[in-house]
Amino acid sequence: MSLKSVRLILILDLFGSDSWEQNGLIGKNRLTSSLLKSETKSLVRFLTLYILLSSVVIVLLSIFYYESQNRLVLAQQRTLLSTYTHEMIRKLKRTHHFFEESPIYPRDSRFQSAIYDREYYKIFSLLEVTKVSFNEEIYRTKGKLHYVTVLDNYYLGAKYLVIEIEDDHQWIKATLQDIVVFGLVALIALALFGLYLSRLFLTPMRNSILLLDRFIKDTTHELNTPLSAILANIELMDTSVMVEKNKKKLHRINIAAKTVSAIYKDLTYLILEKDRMSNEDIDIDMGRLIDDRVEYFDILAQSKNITFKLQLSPTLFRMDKKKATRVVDNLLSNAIKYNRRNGTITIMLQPNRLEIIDSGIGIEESKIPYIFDRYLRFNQSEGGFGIGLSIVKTILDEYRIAIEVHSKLDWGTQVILTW
Amino acid sequence: MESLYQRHGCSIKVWIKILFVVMLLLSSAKAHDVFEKHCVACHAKLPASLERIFFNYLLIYSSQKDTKEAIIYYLKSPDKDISLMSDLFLDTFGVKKATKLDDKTLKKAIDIYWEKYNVMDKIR
Repeated sequence: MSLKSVRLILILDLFGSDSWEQNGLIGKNRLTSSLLKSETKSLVRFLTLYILLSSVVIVLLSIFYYESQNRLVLAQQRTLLSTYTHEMIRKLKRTHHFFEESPIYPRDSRFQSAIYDREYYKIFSLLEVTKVSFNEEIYRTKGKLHYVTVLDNYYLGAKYLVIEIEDDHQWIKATLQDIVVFGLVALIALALFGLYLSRLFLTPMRNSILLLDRFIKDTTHELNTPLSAILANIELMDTSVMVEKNKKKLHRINIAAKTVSAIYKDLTYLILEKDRMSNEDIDIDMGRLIDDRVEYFDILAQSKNITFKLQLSPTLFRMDKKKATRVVDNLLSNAIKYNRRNGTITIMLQPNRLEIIDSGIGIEESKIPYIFDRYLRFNQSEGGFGIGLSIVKTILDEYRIAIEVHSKLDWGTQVILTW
Repeated sequence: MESLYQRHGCSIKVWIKILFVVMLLLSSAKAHDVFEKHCVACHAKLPASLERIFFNYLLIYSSQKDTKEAIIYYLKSPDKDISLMSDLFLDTFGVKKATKLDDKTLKKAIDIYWEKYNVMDKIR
């Protein structure tokens, strides 16, 4: 076996093809198990609407229940008030016939009463609430219950006899208590049912994402061997003996291989690194890391004649190096990918801030909130799966690093990380 | 020099007031006379008091307006069928003759009748 072959095998081993099976490529990983941002948004919207409608239904049912209870209580009181009315009529009859001897209005300690003539003029009243509604037979008013009877014989000229008693509020308390308890139970039950329903509706969407995940996992797995071979062979090639034409071709192959490699690393991170439970945090010299990555991407940048402008202050940040590399790589890769020819990329590093500004095509302001969504790509002309910024956001969130994106079409994009 | 009014002004005012009150009393007495003269005079001879008749009307017509209108109608066009008195009373004393009083006098008399017996002011 030649020296070149040995180096190729070593590089292949570095990718660790055995680890694919160990990490369960086919099963759900943490990402697919948790809800996506768009899913959460749909879920929240659906649940809000569902709970709102459920609340309206519950409120309507509560009103109906309250009214039925009210009618029930009034029906019970009507019997009592009817008895009082008959007693009063008998007494009014007596007063009518013996008015000259005793012009005293009949009183009763159990209730108050009043009589009105045919034109609703008050003849005599002992009512505490004087406003009477002659159109209703029985009604509640200001804590009192009024019962209005039209008399057959107008004793003392009275056509209307009104009986007034205290309104018992106990039933209102009991009814409201019932409404609150049963309403809440119903609302919770409906909300749970809504949650179940919404998850049921979201299943097709989740399945398609799961399918895409599986596809990417399988594809990544298949990419491993050929990509390793290409990269290894480029490294092994002796360019000093090549003619200029072949050198250019190799240069292009190198660019293409590095682009694919960047995608591959993102996918590997997504499948393998993300599920890794613990981070290997170390103090990273961010300036050096950026310098290294700029050098790595330089060959890509040169293909579009892009110039890097670096202002790097010495900065240490405690973080998992692989994750830090993914963040920087993705931001740089995007800055190159979406830049124009002869453009610039300015990278400014300060002790608590990293700023990457490109002079590229930019993105619409309305689309900025969605750039971190997985599988979302606004520009189809460039390659990629739309997972780079999703990975960046996940890592930044993990390390509590804030990210701001400012962009203007045909002006460029400015990405600011602060910690 | 004191004028006649200044000397007797006070006493003239008092006399005017007295005159006004006397005229008012006379007018009231005259109005009362209308009821006494045209109603009480005849009904005093009957066993059914005016008060009982008033309560009979009240029992049927309830309000002031309807009661007054019903009494006036009956006094102008008395009829056994619309009378509120008992058959025994009507058989014994017959139906009264239609009134010859003019509308104004009749209305005045009925107003006094209502004021005299209405329940609203008396019940307590």
